[in-house]
Amino acid sequence: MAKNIDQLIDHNFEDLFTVVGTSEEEIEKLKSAPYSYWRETFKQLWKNPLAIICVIGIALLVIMSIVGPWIKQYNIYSNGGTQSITVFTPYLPPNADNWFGTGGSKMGYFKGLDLWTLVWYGTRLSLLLGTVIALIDTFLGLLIGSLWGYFRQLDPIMIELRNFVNNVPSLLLYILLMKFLDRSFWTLVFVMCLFGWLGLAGFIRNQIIIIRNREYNIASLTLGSSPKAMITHNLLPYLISVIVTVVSTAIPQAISAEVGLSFFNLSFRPSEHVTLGQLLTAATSDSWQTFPYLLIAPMIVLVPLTVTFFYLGLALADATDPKSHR
Amino acid sequence: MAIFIIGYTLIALVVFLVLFIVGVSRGWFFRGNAKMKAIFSNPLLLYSLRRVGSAFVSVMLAVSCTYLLIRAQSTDLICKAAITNWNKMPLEVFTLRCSTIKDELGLTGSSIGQLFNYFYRILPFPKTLCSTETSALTDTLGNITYIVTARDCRNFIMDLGKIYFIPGYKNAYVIDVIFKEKMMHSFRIGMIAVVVELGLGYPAGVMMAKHKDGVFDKIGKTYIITIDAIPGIAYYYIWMTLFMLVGLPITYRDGNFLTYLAPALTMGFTGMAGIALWVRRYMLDEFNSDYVKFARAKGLSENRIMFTHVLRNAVVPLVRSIPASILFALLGTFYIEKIYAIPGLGGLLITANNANDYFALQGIVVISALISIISYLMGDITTALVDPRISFASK
Repeated sequence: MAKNIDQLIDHNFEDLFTVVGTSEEEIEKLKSAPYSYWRETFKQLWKNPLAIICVIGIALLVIMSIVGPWIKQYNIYSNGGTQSITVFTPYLPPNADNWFGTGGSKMGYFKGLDLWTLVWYGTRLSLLLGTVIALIDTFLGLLIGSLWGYFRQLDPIMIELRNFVNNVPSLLLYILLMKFLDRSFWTLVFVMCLFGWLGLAGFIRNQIIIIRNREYNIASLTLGSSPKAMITHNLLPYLISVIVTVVSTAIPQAISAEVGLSFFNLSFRPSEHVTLGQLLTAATSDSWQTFPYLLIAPMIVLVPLTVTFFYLGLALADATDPKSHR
Repeated sequence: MAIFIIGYTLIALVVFLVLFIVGVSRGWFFRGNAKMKAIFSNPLLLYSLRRVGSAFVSVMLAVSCTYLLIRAQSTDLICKAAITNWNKMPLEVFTLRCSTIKDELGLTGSSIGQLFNYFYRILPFPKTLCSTETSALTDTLGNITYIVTARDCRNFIMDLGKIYFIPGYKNAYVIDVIFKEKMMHSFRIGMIAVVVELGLGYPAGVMMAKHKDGVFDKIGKTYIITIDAIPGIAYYYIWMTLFMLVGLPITYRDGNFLTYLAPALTMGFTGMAGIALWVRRYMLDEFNSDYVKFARAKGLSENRIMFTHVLRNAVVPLVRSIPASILFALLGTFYIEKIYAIPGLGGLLITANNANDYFALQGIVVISALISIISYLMGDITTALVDPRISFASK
């Protein structure tokens, strides 16, 4: 060290640096690799072993929800009388023919049906419903939340709406709405999306209020940015990490919400469609203490399904935080 | 007619109140009168006025919307439920009695008029309301011998109507059923659950924050995330199975304390996760602040810093939810009450819906809206009590 300092004092630069000369081409080039936000995000994500386990788990469950019923080739619905339903003796414990056992006699439509087939059909519909609802909720929540945060004039109406939803038991709203509607896929999507976006919208609104008066936004406003540009270029990209955190948990939450509705018979009719929630509800109305496999069958898919989605969401939230990049 | 006068007076009052509050806060009135202006710009008074006003509007909105949704169904059935042996009466007598009953219940006239009537009933001031019960006595051949009418008058602070369709509660007042019978069961379980979730949640959160990234923190985080991820019903049944294996009785029985434990602990262990999560997060946020560094520099022990400095600051955003959790214990929960067969308020909603009982349904909406408004206001007051930095002027 002392030697280096001595060299510096002596202005002996030739020992410290090598002179390469000037080059017009080299000046234009960037030495560091170009930074891409999403590439860096996924690089971070693949470094996390938990995320990889979750992705594999989700992929397995999705594949099984397609392949699962096909393995056994049992029919659970008659498809308008074109095929015969495969009915077994009720309360069969898991065996070579029925890998998850068969439905109990108090399980309504599911009495004597093969639980393996039911569970994978249920997974398919639950996943589909959860994904569609999560997408719609996210879209509406982002759109309305950003408008709500940016235009403060919307506050009185939106806060009143939020108070209304908070004051009335949500189950009562579902019950009353379901009385007027038939139980098709899109009705259920409509009912569950009706107020589902409010949570995300309120969250986005609070976040936008926090950052909307930062210097860079005021500078942007002074330069004459339109509200649309402000929201899409300044506010939402800043919040991307926070948004991904909330959105990634939307799918498991939608699946859970459907389970909750099923518990009060507000979901599909069991004789038309099967979901994991209905299987769980049917099992709990049967004597599951004596025949635990009735309850275990839906649980063994439902619990990993929601947990893997949730953990993947959290891992994605860590990875999307630009502070953790590089 | 009287109903309409009451109704329009009510609306005028509300509009006036809203305008007044807006006006005071914007400084429209008392421009010349400095003394009056000073009184009305008192931050606490202005704040309470604004809060009570907006709470009132919120409750009215919630009640009207659900009222109109519930009333979209036919009301003729109520007469048949209210009159014993209605099918044996002469038709004209039945029609007459039916119109009287509907009048008393406020089911005649336009739907707006009905709504005003309902508001008159639920507004909390002393009033006397009467209802007439009619029944026909028949002889052995089935012919009517007498038509008996009994007039039942009562002083109310708040009237929520009567139950007509729920078996076991016929002709009981909704307000009695909710407050005297149902709420007790829900509150009993709910209070034990609140004690468990506060008593375990705060220490767990503190422990997790203290040993960040330690074994306890990792176990705690896994538990919290799992509770968040799995659908409620799934883990309620997991808890139920565990309690069964331990040997706790899982069917609720009135008066047997041991049977309260399973539902209360299920609720408590669930609620605890959320509390521990937020306590941990707020405490970790406080760890980086200057006063903690200063306390460390002074040489205070870690425990002293933890409990007298950090925790006191970290709980400020959390105490807001304590009155709410106690008050919401009154309302009970739908899922736990159904799973453990507790005859509480959450179960009443389902029964009332299955029986198509309008007044019981509407009563539950009113009570839960009131409770959520009160708990919100009390949360603000508690925060102000705990945090000396808060003044109402800034809001």
